Amino acid sequence: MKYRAKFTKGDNVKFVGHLDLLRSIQRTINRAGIFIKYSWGFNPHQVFSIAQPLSVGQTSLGEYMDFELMEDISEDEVKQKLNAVAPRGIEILKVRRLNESEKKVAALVEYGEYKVILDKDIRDEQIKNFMLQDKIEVDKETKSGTKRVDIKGDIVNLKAQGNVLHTTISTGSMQNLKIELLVETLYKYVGFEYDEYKIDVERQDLYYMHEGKTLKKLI
Amino acid sequence: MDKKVSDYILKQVEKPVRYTGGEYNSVVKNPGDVDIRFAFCFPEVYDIGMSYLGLQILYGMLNERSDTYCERVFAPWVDMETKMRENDIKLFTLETGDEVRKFDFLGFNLLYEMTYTNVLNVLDLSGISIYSKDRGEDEPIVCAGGPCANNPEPLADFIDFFNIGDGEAKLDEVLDLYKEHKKSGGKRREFLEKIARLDGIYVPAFYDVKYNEYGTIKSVDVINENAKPVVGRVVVADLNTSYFPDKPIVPFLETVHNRITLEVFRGCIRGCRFCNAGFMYRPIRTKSVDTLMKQLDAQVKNTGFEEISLVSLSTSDYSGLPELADKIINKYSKQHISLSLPSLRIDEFSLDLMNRLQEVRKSGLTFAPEAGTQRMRDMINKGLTEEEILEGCRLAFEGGWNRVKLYFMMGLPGETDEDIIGIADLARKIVGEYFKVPKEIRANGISINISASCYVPKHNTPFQWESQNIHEEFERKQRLLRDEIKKVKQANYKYHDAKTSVVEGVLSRADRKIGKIIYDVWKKGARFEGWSDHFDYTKWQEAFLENGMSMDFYNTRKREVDEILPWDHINVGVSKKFLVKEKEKALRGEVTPNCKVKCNRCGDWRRDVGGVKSESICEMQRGGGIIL
Repeated sequence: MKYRAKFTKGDNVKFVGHLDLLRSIQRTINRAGIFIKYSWGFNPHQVFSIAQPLSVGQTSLGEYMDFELMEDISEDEVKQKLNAVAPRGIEILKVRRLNESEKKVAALVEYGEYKVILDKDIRDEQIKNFMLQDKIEVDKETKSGTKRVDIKGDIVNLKAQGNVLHTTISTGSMQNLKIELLVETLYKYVGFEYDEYKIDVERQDLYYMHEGKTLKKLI
Repeated sequence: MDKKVSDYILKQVEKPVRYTGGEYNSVVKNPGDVDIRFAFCFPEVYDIGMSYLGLQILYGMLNERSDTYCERVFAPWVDMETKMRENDIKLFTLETGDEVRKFDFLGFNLLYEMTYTNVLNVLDLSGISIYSKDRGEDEPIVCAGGPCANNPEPLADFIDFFNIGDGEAKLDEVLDLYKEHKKSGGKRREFLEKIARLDGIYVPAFYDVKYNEYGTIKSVDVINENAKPVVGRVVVADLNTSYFPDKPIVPFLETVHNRITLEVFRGCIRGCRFCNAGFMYRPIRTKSVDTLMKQLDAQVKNTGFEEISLVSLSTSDYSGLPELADKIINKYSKQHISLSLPSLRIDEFSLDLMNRLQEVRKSGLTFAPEAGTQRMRDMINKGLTEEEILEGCRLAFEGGWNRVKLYFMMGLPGETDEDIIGIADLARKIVGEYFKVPKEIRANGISINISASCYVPKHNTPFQWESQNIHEEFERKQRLLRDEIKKVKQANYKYHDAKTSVVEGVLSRADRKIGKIIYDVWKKGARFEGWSDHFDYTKWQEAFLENGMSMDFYNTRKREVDEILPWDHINVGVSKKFLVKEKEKALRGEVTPNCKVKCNRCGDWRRDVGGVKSESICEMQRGGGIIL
């Protein structure tokens, strides 16, 4: 029986790296006493996948994972059992059973919505002008060296209110824009000095494009 | 936690999760609701400290008390220290983020001498006076315990009191007295006087040490009427009933040992003459299989760990092992929880067990002959013969193992070059055993990894009077061994830094005079000296030179048995008479049978109960217990 869970990565766990987070979830599942399916092979491990990892130091209100249980338990029971033994900061918000044919979260996710607390105020007009450029070019590190790419198409929307930035951008395995890179580019355009450690990022949710026109949440 | 350090700083350091706490099973209390705040410090980086079972035991035990909040603090890694000093941030605990200097107690766990400079650094980063004598009424009481506390003298100037022995045995009583004392508004000296009367509590300021002309100890005099001339080590009598955590903290970070650590018994029956732990943790106290399964069930349920490790000084000596291993495997292998058994003696039973534990892959096997020749193994009372080693290897090779790890020491008392060459000879004989096994049976290719550490004579062992090799001699022996092992093409040899062992040797058997050296070395910037890339021998050389003292006095000097040793006023329980006898037997190459074969009367393990001597708490001495 396949399930998808939506969960938070709160302040208490924001410095926990991706691999450590996976291990923490694995142990939470063990404590919850729900039996998850294991892989075959020399080193059997729990089969679960997480959509698009966050950078260390960022929080999220909408993370997703898929897993397969050995037994058929109700969505509510899975949620309750996990929440009873989850570390502070990780809260299961929603659980849904998946059909056999549904895509895995990692393959499904295409967009991410973010709220960013900046260390400076940005005016509406600066955002407008930024978005009015024909191209928003940045240097991206790839395996074969640095490449100049246009990220304009990756930005679905971008708004600012004082020092709070709201944006939805490509976040997925096919097309991905790192939120830090967007902020850095914006700062450069506006003429602000960028210090990555002074920016606080909170992911709001993850989406996929439904029938080519609307963004839908993964659950 | 309520972060007192800004995210701005945390984002700039390596592994910020070392400083943020909030792990599953970490304890949350309202500091306003308790009478006593206790900061428990393992003076190493989080990743190391959180792997230590003693921390989990005492943290859990102290937090069982509703009047106490025990919080954790570790030595911040060098990048964090820099940020803290730049921004004038005082050291804080992981649970509440409150400054350590506001606590009632700061307790250090001393597992390794090379953390002593970290102890001073933690005090300094906390804003607490380094020297005990300078501490004011508003500063925490600084205490220490753990294996190194059995020679407390090197840190005597910095620590207000030491807990000698098992932490579970006396801490509750100390805290009860403190609570009463705090309510009545007493002075810190008065509190120290009260606890100095308890067994196992050593207040160094209440003792005056006088020296002879050449630096040896002339006398150790009690200068406070509350202090005892000799402080006896306190031990938990029954591990079946003493506290063991059922909800250990589950770190987010992948620590050195990130798993369930189940202590099977305390003490050791072997009596290897080089081994500090083998004497200091006596007497033998075991847990029953039932107790162990109960403790294990609770830990599995409450942690979700996927690995169980059984620990003790020599798990093979536990006669309940077959039953315990069966129960664990039957109960938990279905849940994909694996069992690991460090340091088993290699025989048919253990190979069969390991076969069941790892159905597909064969990991390497480990032997610890400790010395290369039978003469030397007899001297150190390592009850392992060449025949046993070769037989174990043969069985292993027939069972499909082909990687062998061998642990040795160099620089043992009475060692000659022949004993070093003997290490390579033994490796050669093991290779020979491999080739005797038919090709169809043995696994392809054999590799032997040899590790030879530099021997450090330790306090409270039969070799406590012996000379340690100087580092040039260690290095000569390392070259000799390297050249010999080159002749055995299936063997590899791993060295250890000799200079670290020399300093460890100095600290292990040092007196109070060394406190000034530790202070100076710390002032020169020494930190994390257990890490080879942080250890700097020249700082120690300089400090000795500047203070007109000599390292040789502490490490190469052979002591007479009638010399007053710096730790003579601490009684760990094993008698000096027994240690002298063992030393003499070593020189004659005589072995002492293990406690299972014969009780050697190593000490008096009876306890005073209401003025009457109790039955011995040593299971071997009583002739009962599970190791039989």
